[in-house]
Amino acid sequence: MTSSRPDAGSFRDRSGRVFLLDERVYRTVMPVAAADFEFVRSTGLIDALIAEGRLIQETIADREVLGEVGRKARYVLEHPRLPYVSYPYEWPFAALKAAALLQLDIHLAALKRGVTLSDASAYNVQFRGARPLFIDALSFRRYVEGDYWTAHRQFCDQFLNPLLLRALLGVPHNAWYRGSLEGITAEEMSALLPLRRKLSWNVFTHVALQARLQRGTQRDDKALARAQARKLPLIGFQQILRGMRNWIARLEPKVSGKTVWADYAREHSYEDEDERRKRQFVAEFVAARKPQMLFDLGCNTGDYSKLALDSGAGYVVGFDFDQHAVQAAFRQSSAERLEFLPLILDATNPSPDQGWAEAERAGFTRRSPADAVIALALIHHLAIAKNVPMDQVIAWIVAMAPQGVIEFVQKSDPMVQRLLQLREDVFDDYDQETFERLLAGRASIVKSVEVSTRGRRLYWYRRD
Amino acid sequence: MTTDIHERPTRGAAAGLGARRSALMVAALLFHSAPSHAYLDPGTGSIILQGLLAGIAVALGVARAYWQRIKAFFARADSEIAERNDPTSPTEESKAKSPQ
Repeated sequence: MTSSRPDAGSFRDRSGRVFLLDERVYRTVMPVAAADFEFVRSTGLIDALIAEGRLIQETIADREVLGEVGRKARYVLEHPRLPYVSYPYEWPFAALKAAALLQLDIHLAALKRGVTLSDASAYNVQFRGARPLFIDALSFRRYVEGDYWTAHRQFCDQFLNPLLLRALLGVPHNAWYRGSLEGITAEEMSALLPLRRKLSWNVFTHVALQARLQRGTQRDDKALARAQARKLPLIGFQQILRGMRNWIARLEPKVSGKTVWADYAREHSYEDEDERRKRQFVAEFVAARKPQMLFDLGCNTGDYSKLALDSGAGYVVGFDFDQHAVQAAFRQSSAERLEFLPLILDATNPSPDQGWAEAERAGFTRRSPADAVIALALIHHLAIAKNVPMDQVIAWIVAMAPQGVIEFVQKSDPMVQRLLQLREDVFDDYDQETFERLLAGRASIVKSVEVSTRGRRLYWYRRD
Repeated sequence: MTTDIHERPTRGAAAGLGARRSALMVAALLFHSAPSHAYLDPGTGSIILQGLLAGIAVALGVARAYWQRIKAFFARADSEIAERNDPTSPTEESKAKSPQ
């Protein structure tokens, strides 16, 4: 038997941990958490949330499956494996907002059954397509009359403040969040916001006042003792959660999403003959290979991701660094309930292994490979706009999946010309012949077709 | 524990009851302590803030409950007056006269 390995991101809560064994996911429930575990399951909350598709499924497994580790636990649960694990710093605004609302809705539903949540970590929410799913079966605890919302500060750091950064200041949360894995604190947010923003009741209380109270009472043991002695009535707890929910439901990125979406819709016309040929080739590739997991690099608004799903792909993860495009893609996936998860990613600086021991949150490469990859209209952005040598671009894509489709865009193409407009053309080796030679050096070219009169060409490769 | 009694009170007598219970509950909670089972540090700022927000929420809840009771009182008085004065309100006499 292969031995199980603990998931590197699950160590904070002593109630239990996640273990991976032979591609299966197990969770231990330690004796210290057994009473809460049993009580919470007796309320019917867990079954209800699973039935609604809001909580990950769980079945009680044989403890022996984890050997020594399992014997120390009171229970061992098995969870279904998620198609792809993503992190809040890779989510578009709409995804972070959907995750925040799920967290609050679950907490409100839990309180009705005498259950509360011990934390509010954004990493406890994952996505299936654009549908948020709560994955921490051990966040649930028995609610005791008077309990505070222990995770209020964590909720603000990991959901509220990153959303406000975009909604109030127009700055996407992703880069900051990636550098600061626990989110943005009230003190930091408060320092950034102009006074007029703090005049709103919600911003004033949850950001400015919280920051002030936190600063003012940090070394004040008396204030802490006073706070601990006071209790929060249930009605107040629910009111705070509802208020937060209503507020977050109204938040939108500062630049109106609608205009941008409309612009993208206009730019993407399928009447185009080039577009039609390109779609046909991609559809043929996907239909022939039927990949379970397909990566769409430079997915834009997800047109080709959707095409891939329609052609027989099981699940598509799209990556793009354009906030508006990924936001639009996410909304479409959400509206049509697609098996498509669009994420923010800068190909020249993908998410690294990071967090505790540089392993807590897996980097982009550690979450590969996919069964197939498509990289359409991407090469020139990396090889010309970002100066990455073409051989390295090809190596990176080919390493990501054993087969795929790559589009090569000629230097004469207006899109490439635009990239070169204000700079010297130092790319002597950027031509079709070199591209073909380099790709052939790393994989077999199964098929290629010219998809535009301007010389855009698609290559179907297979790694040997 | 029961949660249903804390649902937002609606109107009339129920509102008064909700208000009294909320007020009693606040008083009870101030002198009652419950175990904490957090593995997170909730932060003093957040705890003090929640105390303040809860106080405001409860005060508003109580005020709303009494306001509903006052409104319900006048609404009842109004409808009684309206019933007496409204010639179109169906009476046994008018029902008997209506065509079959």
